[in-house]
Amino acid sequence: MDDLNPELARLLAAKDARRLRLARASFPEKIAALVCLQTMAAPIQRRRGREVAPWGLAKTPAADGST
Amino acid sequence: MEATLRVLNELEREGAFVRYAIGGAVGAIFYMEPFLTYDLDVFVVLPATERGLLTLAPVYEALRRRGYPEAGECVDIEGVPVQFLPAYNPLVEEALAEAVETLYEATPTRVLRAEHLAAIMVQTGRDKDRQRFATFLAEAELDRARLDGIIRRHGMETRWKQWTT
Repeated sequence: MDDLNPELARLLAAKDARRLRLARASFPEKIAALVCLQTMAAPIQRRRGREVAPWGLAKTPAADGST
Repeated sequence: MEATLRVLNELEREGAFVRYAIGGAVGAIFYMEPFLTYDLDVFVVLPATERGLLTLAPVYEALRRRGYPEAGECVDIEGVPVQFLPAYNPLVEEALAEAVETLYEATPTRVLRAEHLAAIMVQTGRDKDRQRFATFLAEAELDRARLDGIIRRHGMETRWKQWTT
């Protein structure tokens, strides 16, 4: 990291710090974040033909009609 | 998720399995930054059968009676696809016996210890385990003495070195 532009080094350090902060979050907070991730990724997964649903929600068919 | 855990606790109380603990990706997420997964892997110690067979049939039957039929390799319990994995070797048996008791909101549950999860990733050895492993080691707080003991007891020294150097 020594050779990096100081601004980039600061941004990368902030990303690492955020990652560690998330790693120390409570289990329910992490599961809430996971469900957000599932919700964001589900349309992409469905377009790839993978039948997925964010936790707590019913599975919905893919946009092309497949499930 | 909390409703799912309540069902798991009821199944354990009723004897569908002797003990359960969360493992796999969600077990790892307990110790590290969340990443995408859609399944909840639940390791179980099954009751002894006369023939000594490891079968999940009684677990599936108990769930069917409650209105949770299996779909493929998972059972949708309160909106969460749960995959049950019987304790299939001494490492997983030990991991289940020593799993950490925790609370999810107001519901008690168990999660495999970080050191056992790391050892299981190495033992299982799939590409996705390897991808997850380095981040897990960087983010999870591991008890080095406990981890060394696990690696030694289960004869994983060579493989562990391959994965960590």
